[in-house]
Amino acid sequence: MTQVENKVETRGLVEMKDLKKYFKSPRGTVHAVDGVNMSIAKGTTMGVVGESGCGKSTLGRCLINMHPATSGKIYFDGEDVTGLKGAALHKYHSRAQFIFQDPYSSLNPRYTVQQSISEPLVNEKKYSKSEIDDRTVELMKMVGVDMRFRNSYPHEMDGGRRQRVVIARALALDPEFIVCDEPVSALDVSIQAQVLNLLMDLQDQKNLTYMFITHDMSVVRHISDDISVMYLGQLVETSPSKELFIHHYHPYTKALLSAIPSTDIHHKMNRIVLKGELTSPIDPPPGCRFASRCMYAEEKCLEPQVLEEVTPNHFVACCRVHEVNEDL
Amino acid sequence: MSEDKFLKVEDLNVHYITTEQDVFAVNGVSFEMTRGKTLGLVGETGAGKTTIARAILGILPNPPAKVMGGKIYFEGRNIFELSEKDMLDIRGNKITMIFQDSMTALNPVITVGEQIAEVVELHNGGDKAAAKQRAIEMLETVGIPAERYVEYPHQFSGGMKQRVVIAIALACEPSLLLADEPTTALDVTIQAQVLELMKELNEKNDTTTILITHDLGVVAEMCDEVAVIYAGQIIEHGSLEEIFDYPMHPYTNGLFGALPSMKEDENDDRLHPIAGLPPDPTHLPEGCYFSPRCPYVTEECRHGDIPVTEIRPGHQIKCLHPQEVK
Amino acid sequence: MTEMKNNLVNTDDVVVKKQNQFVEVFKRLRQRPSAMVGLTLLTILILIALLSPWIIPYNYAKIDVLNANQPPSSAHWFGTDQIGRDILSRCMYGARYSLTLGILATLIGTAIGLVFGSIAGYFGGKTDDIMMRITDVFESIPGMVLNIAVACAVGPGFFNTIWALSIGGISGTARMIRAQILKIRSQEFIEAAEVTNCSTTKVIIKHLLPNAISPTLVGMAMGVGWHIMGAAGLSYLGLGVQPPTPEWGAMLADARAYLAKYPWMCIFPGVCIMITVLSFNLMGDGLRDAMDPKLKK
Repeated sequence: MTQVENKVETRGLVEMKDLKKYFKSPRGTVHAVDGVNMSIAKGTTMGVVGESGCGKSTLGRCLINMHPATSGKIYFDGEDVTGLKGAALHKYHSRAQFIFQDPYSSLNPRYTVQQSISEPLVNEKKYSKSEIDDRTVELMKMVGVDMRFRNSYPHEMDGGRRQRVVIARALALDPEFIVCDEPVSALDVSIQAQVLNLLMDLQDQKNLTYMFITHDMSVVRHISDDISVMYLGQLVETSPSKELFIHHYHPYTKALLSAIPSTDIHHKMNRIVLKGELTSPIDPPPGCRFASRCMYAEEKCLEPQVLEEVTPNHFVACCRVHEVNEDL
Repeated sequence: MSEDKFLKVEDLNVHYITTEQDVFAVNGVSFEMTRGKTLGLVGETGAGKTTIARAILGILPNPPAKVMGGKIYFEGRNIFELSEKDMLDIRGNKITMIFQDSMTALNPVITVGEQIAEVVELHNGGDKAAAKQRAIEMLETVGIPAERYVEYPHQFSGGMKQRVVIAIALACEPSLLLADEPTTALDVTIQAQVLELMKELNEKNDTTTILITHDLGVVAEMCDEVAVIYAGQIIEHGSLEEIFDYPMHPYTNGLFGALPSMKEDENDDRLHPIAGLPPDPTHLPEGCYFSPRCPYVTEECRHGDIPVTEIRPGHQIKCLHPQEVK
Repeated sequence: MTEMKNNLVNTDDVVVKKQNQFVEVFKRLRQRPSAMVGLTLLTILILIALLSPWIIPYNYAKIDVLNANQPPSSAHWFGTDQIGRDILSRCMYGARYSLTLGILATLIGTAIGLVFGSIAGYFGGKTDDIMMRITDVFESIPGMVLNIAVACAVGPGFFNTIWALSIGGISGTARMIRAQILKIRSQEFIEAAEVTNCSTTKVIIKHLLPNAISPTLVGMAMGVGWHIMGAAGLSYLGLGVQPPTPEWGAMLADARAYLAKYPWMCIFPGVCIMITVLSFNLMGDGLRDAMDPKLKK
């Protein structure tokens, strides 16, 4: 079974087909990711938003093969990368990388900046010492970490610098695709802006493709070309970013957007305050997972929902979408 | 003069003193509050927000924290001069605090109902039946059905736990509530519920609130007044409208600029971060603490004390070169 | 306090100094008087052990029946034993055996425990279950009984004693390391290493172990003291080092018949054991405090 045989025509650089990830737990099966279809075009950013426990981090980890998917397929550049192992996985990891949420725990406390950044290169075992050193210097310049930090340990640096080091490490093998899992949520606003700018500059320079996972709607709006809204392991709405903030059709997206505290003190949005909280992802019923909190829920919401293209490139998984939204 | 104000903080200075270094956490903070208002203390990590709240409640960990000067008048009395017994009476009864990490603020082996009742009992002189009645009332007030009185914290979700913490804080109808990042750990839809609840309860009980947060959105939702903290100093203070419509301090402007915008018309691709990092609180710069990062810095900013000036009615600023952006 | 933790210590103007972790730990160790006492005693003991062939006043094995059973005097500071050997010389020379025994047994036990614990902790699941049940079996046998059993099986002698003792130390280390590894395993830098194509061996050796090892170091310092006691116990029972080797436990065993009449024959080796165990324990305590990251500024 060679890679070439598996080549299929895909629209995006990264494509997911009915991706599922279940975890066994003592109380039942956790449906962390439950049938996600998604396509990310080369050079664009797909923002994945949702609340904690909606499976967005698991989705990102599945893409990089940190968790093996339970079922479904992941295609990268037309190749099936689902469940890769050994050398093939290593090759995939040189093209697809991951940036972690917490710059405090994603760096080995006993590694210097230089050691952390050069580690992926050292692991490749094909570069000479001087090549690795040169590349490390280049990477540090690229992410804006001053050379005098090269022998510093993580605890000697602030959060923003650490996250730059994490980014440099992810870039070491020159990947095409990076999953960013809440890369700025542990940082203060002013530092957050520095890191977001860096990520966007890098994307422009290297034509990178991002999957940007976050719970912060203002950040995702700023950085994404497309946005997918997740709720309990499923996509409820996918649309180009600009479109989503003007027209949002799924009741959950509406509530999510209205819940964001706005800094605009003169134009108060009408807030939709949801009842209750996220229901359990353990053995969920087959219908719409949002139904128990949804103000529009009725009988037919207990059937499984499918994503429907309501306007070009704008998909919503809600059977009542046309009834609820007058403009559709 | 101090009597007519409900809470008055005068030139508060708090340092953390260790054998190796002194951390200048709060450096001359003064503000006043009238009853029933909500003040937002805004600032980044390490700016000294939590220290101010802890000083007001008299629970600074000593050592290493040491109040180096200043007075805090609560209902006309300087709390630094009160006996520990009087302080106990005020703490919990009149001033309560919701902590940043409220997920661990609940005791895992006591039912949530009992935890609320316990606090009430402590302050009503040990009337068990009344305390239980009050606890049930409080649970219902924060939207938790009374039958969950007998459940343990692990049976509650994050948002529910936060509600319990709020119920505990408000059970004795305090006149001053210190809320330290009460919703930071929550998801936006849950945050919306909790903020809504706090607003409602504050209005009902006429509670004065100091809300500590780094989220300008939350401030816009909740507060009447805003004080921006940088390196242990209030650098800008005024009504919500003043600060949000006419931010004048370069740091406040920087904060607004660094925020990704939610406005539909803005198509600006880059954010405008504030250059550099907050100062090392063990080695604060001379003059204005923001001067090393400030784009409008001049030579006079780097020396001496920067005076607080009233730039517009009810809008104070600690800056020699206020900038009007909008 | 949270605010203090997050203080950003480097502004752009401060040049970041490179800190060596060992230097840092040693600095903090120096602030603890008890640890320094332990360290000093230990240094003296090790020096004595190293230099003993040249500094002992008499040959430790020389029999001098005419001078048997002498109490401490200016000629024989610790007195002589039942066949006239100088006890001071024997105690000094015995430091070689006792320290070597303690340190080697600890090293071997820790090394095996490290491998065992890190494999169990890293792979988890079934592997972990099986390996931990094996350690359970060892844990269920009291230490001394286990030592005696192994010593009986392999027979007496210096190296056999080391083996007997080190087997007793494996399960403790394995459990401790496993717990540490489980904790560190959940941190993101391990995932990061895996994504950057680190081999499993490298993840364990370079990322997991160095971060899991500090509590083990403390345990090791304490373990040496334990093993010296254990060795003394075995020797006392006649299962350990055999006379005339001047191992302290063996000396004790030898002298027990004369305890009432010539107490110095027992007291001095006993004091040697006590001081050694004490110094290792003081060191261990000090190390634990010095390496506690919560005490880091």
